Amino acid sequence: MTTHKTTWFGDRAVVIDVASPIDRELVATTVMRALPETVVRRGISSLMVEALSPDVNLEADVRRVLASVDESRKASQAPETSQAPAADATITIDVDYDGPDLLPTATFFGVADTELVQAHTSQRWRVALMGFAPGFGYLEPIEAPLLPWFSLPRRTTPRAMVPAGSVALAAGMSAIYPTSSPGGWHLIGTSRRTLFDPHNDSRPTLLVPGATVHFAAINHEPTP
Amino acid sequence: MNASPADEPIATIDTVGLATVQDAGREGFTDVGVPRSGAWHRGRHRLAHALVHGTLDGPHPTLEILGSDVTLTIHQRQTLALVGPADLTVDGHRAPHAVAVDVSPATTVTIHHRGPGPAYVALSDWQPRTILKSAATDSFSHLGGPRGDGSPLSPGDVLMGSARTQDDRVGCFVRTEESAPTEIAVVAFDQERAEFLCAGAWQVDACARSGLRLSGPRIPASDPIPSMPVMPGAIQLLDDGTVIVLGPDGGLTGGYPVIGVIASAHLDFMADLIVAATVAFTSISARSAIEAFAVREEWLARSLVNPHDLP
Repeated sequence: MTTHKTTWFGDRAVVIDVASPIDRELVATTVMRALPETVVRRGISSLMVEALSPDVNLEADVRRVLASVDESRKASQAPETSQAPAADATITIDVDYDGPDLLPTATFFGVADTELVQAHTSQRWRVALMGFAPGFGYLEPIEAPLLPWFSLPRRTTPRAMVPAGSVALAAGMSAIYPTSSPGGWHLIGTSRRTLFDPHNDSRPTLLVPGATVHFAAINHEPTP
Repeated sequence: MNASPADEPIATIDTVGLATVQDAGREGFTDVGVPRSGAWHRGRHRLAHALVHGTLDGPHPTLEILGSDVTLTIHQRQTLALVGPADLTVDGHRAPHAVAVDVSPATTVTIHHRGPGPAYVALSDWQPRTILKSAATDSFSHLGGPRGDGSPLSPGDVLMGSARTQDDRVGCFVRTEESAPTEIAVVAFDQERAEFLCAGAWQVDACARSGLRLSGPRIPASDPIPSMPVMPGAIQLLDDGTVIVLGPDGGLTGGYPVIGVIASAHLDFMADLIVAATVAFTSISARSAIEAFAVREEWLARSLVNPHDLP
């Protein structure tokens, strides 16, 4: 038995409901280790375990792994929040905070633009899931939000074209647009890092699910 | 300087409507945001692949023809097979459908697309460039295809590869045509709304490789959901009651409630639905869907006939 709800998603994937980001990361890393022949994909509050082809044993296999997660949690008698899997090395993204929405976004939060930059660079972010475009990571705050990020909705009218490298905020999350595309998030800065390299077969994206991201402001002060 | 075998032009596209380069898709990158993409009607792609290469599953590409005629000038001798709703002529003469045929240099091959749905052409020694281990044209991610940016084929595009090295597949054929089921099988994700989905007929309002937009019986609205992973065949319910069935270029995450997912054995049939077509769904268990998949795989394997193997 497991405390996690599982549901077939078609005939070759099973969706697991997770209680929190920490729970999601713990379950994801455990399933990836236990079922290496599957692909584990993250949602905000769910995980999808996908087999290469329809597999009648998939749900039972997933439930067996989930039961082992519950067992180890029980054995350690530790609260869920202390069991976060070891994070990958932190990825630092240098940002020029020159986005067209920097000031309006700061105004929305009731702070100065420098305070918004301070909060964005002081917050540690985790790659919750990837999608929308190759290399696009949805970044969630790891610790308590330094500003009420969740209160900021998407723009009423999405932009027809957001430049590649745009650093953005919306709906409690931050992101960097890997390529030019339409987008409805608030643009607060620009990064020059390559987030998606289609010619790198072994690691085409800079971000990977579960990784920690830290933003650093590029200092334009002239050096004396 | 000597050219490597894949550097030779094997054919030039003279005329083309909507056609793309496809294969089995990009495997292993969905967790970092790169969809699998690949052939919309995998059964036909695999049969064309098998006619020319001997196995249903493999890395080789096909032309996926979604509309209008395609004309090719052949430069290097090839074994060619066409599978799907289209007719084949070689230098103006009718050639057999779903049979591996020999095409010589300087011949003109025309594929007359009848539809509905995609047709697939395999060429024995075509080796397009790959991006992330696949030649698949992904319009969502702007990957693959002749220019590497997800764009479809255009007149003047040259298919690269080499002259045919083996002719032992010529004459192989597909035994039977596959007929569509009267109802498309769905594995329910939201039991209550799946019952509404299966209660009546749906009409196709738009279709593309990204997916199908359907209108039909009213389904009670559902709250938006936190973004979750999705895959081709996922059936999403939009706020206005419209239903979307995701196709191979439909993206990897979604925030619309999911009603169910098309059974793998029936997903190919969605590729044949065009605007104004009607479709009905029936709900089945995941176990039944897996059994149906096994039956179809067996049918696909049995459909292939190599005349050299006949008694």
